[in-house]
Amino acid sequence: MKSLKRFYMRLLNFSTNRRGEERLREEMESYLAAQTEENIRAGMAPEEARRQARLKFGAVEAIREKYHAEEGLPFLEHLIQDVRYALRQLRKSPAFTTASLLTLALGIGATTAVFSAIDTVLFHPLPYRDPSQLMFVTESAPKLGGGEFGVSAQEYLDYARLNHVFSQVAAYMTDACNLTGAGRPLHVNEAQISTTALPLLGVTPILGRNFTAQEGRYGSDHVVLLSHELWQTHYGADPHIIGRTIHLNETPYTVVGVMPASFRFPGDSEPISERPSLWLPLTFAPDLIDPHHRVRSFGYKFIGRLKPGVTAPQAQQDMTRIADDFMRQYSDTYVGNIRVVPHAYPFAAHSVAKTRPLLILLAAAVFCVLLIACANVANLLLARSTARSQEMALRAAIGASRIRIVRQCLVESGLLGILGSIGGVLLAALFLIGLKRFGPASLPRLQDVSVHPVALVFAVALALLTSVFFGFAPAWQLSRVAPESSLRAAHQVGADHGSQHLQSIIAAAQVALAVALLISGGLLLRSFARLLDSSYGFNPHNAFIVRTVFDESRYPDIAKHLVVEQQILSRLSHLPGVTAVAEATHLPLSNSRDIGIHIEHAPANDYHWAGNSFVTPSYFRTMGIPLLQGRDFGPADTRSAPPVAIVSQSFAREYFPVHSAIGRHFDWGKGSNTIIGVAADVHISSLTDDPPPMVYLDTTYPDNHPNETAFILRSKLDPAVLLPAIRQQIHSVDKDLPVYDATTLEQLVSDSVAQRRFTIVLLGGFGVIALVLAAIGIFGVISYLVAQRTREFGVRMALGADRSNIARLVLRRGANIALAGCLCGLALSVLASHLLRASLYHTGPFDPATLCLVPLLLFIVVLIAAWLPALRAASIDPMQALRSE
Amino acid sequence: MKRKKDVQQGTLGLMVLKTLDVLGPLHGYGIARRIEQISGDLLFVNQGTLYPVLLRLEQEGAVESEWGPSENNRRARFYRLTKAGQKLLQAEKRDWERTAAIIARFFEVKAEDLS
Repeated sequence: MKSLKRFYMRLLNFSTNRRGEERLREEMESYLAAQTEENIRAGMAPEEARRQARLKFGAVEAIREKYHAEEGLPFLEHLIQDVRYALRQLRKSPAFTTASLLTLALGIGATTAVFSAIDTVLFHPLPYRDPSQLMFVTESAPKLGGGEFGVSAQEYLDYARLNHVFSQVAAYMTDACNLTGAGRPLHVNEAQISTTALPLLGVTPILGRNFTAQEGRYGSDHVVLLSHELWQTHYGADPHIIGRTIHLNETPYTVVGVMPASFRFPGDSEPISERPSLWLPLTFAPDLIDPHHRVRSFGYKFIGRLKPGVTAPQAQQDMTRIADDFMRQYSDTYVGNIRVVPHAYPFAAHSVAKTRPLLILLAAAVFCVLLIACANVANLLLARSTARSQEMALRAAIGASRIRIVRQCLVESGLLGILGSIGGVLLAALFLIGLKRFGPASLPRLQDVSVHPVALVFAVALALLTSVFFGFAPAWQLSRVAPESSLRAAHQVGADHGSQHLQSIIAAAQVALAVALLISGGLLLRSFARLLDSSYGFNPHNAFIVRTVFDESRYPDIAKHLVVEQQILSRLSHLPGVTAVAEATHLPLSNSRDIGIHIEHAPANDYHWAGNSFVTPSYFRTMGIPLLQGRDFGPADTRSAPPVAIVSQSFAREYFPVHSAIGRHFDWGKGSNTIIGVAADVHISSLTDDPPPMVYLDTTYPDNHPNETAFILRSKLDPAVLLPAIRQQIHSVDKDLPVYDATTLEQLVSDSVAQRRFTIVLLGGFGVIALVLAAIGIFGVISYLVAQRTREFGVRMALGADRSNIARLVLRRGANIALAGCLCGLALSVLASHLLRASLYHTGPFDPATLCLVPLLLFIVVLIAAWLPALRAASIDPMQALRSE
Repeated sequence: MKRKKDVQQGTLGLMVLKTLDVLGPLHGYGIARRIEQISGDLLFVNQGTLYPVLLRLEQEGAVESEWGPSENNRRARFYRLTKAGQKLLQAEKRDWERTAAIIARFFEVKAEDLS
């Protein structure tokens, strides 16, 4: 209790700033008076008496401090004193302070932002219950070629029924539909999900309820869940939306619930424009359950929640077992090339598979930046503390305890670290805002990214550690040395070699990191340029696209569809400024579809995938795709004529390598199709994937016609002018046709490389930051070198050295650092480019241009950075230098 | 003359308390002279160091102080032992005696006693 009371008293004294000055003075006066009297009585002269009394009292300052130590909180007071002094010191050297603070803030801010983003995007991409337990299952058919295409309806039912590894499963399929009935028809993305989906994911609607089991049956499934966004924008967040009827493709549906804003299943990693706005119950029409149609239509995907204790490989094994079983059971259906292989992936990883390499690259880059920033601060602090060694020695000489000196240095560098960290936090928030605004749409949950505490703590800790260590270590060393030798050190002519060595090493390391970063960025840039330069297969300039849907309810048969299509094409072609018009159901770099074809005279059941699009005769001309052989579709190829097709170059090369493909046949749809032309290859899924074999069919083809389609116009007009005109023309033919997704071919190309572009921009930014920081580091080191060796240079000049000699000496030092750094950097970059190999397009890691340019650039920058100090060295007045001590 | 030792802070407090106990209320100068007297000039009290100790004792509640007239009609701050100070003094005295006894026993012990 006593100590607590004392502490409380101390706190009170401290906060009210009460000082016992007054009291001590009075006590001292009365003591001196009494002692002086006694001395006089003992026989001393009055002055001597007073003096002796004073001596007997003791050292006044020391006693005053001890006195004060009893009444306040000395620790806190000293700390405040140190902080005030540190702030003053920092203010006195604005260049040093600004440089350090900026460096720290940049390093911490960038690192925190990137790591926060990575944490959310890579490790928590899904807002579901226990997302690590969710597996995603799809199938591929290796012999047919192509990629993964989901499962068929009956296969899903088998997997659901026969598996041992999932506690729940749910299937889904995405599609689009027209929302009609209120104003302009709205084209929305929808997803059909099993009634078990929401419970599986652990999500409940914020309004209303999930689908019931009854609603999962075909025919009773006209219910719908709305997305939060749709509910807000289209229905004004109407609280009575439950039970209302809305019309999808002219069919009435009842709204039974509204989903939370974060729910985007299954489009978690899709850009915003692809996310579903509605959810419908997934049901299987009777003809899909017909055993004869077992492999007719794939495209269903499903997810399963692992039972506790079951691992992903076990799930894969189970799926394979089920597939083997049903392929054996239905061996007459799974014949020839039609053998499916199931794949089970963790759902979370699947969502981010595309963006993982990008983010890891960014993480490595930003970590380099952080290291460079810390190195900069370290160097700055080292230089500074050595410059103040005299001051420290002086302090020790007049009585400062070692702890006091060291503590003061600690406070100073700690303060720097803390201020830098505050700046870093602000910058991190800023960077994240920028990231959310300009980041590529394909990063899942980018909008949910916020500053992550662990990343922040890590970056701040690293920065604080660096600043404290490099500010503290030299002080510690200094405080151990007896003051006299430090004070005498000023008479030395040479420099402190130990510290300089360390500084040079740190500067060289900075240069190395900057080189590695810049080379990586340069390689990616070259690769990107090559990608954009490569031929796409079509002409992307001045091409405009709009999409529409001929939904089945209003266009039940193809005749009406064709009539309207012809009218629209005709009207569009007559628009002023439009030079060509065409229609296609699937466009390159946009959407794609595969069909299974059988080449004539091939063994039975030898099917293969090929890309497919239904196009009008003017398509190839409008898109700028050259026809290499044969002819385009024409009016003769109407429904009554035998069906014809145009194939792509790679199709012809693969299936008809020896002779021309013209006149040959393949089976699809209702029968045989004749090949009448071969078109040049076009990149379909992305610019980096090889062009797939394509089959183009005329829009008059009598079978299996998709309802969604796109109109392509070639025109030099401004899209803002063109779009309303297009809309008007289309609506003049049919006012209920939705017109959506208006864009240009150039935009499609740009979107397909958006992620790459983003990577390069960021990496480039980091590279520039690294370069600037390295330059500042070199500047600091060389300046310090010049300052330390001023006397030496003075001596040299007095002994006959030329000014240019001195300058050269300094520059040579800078060049040595740069050389060492560049060599290490080159070695580092070889390592880095191995990691980058996957992202480099037709660019090897030893691209000569990049490997030569970057070190050259850095060399030049370093020389520039060393130039000013060299000049300063050369302009030293030898007399001044020799005289100054 | 033997070189005078500086006295420890903790023991100085004890000496102050005992002095006030024996002599009653005293001002700072008086306490200092008294301690010097009793220790037989073997201890050199850097007289000024007395004052921080006095402040500490006052803050701990062991002494009270107030201004009053001293001899020669000068004003001085007089310190007086409180009840809590009395108790503290007794407790410290016991501790010292116990410590001294233990140390003394150690010095008396001979080798044969430890077998």
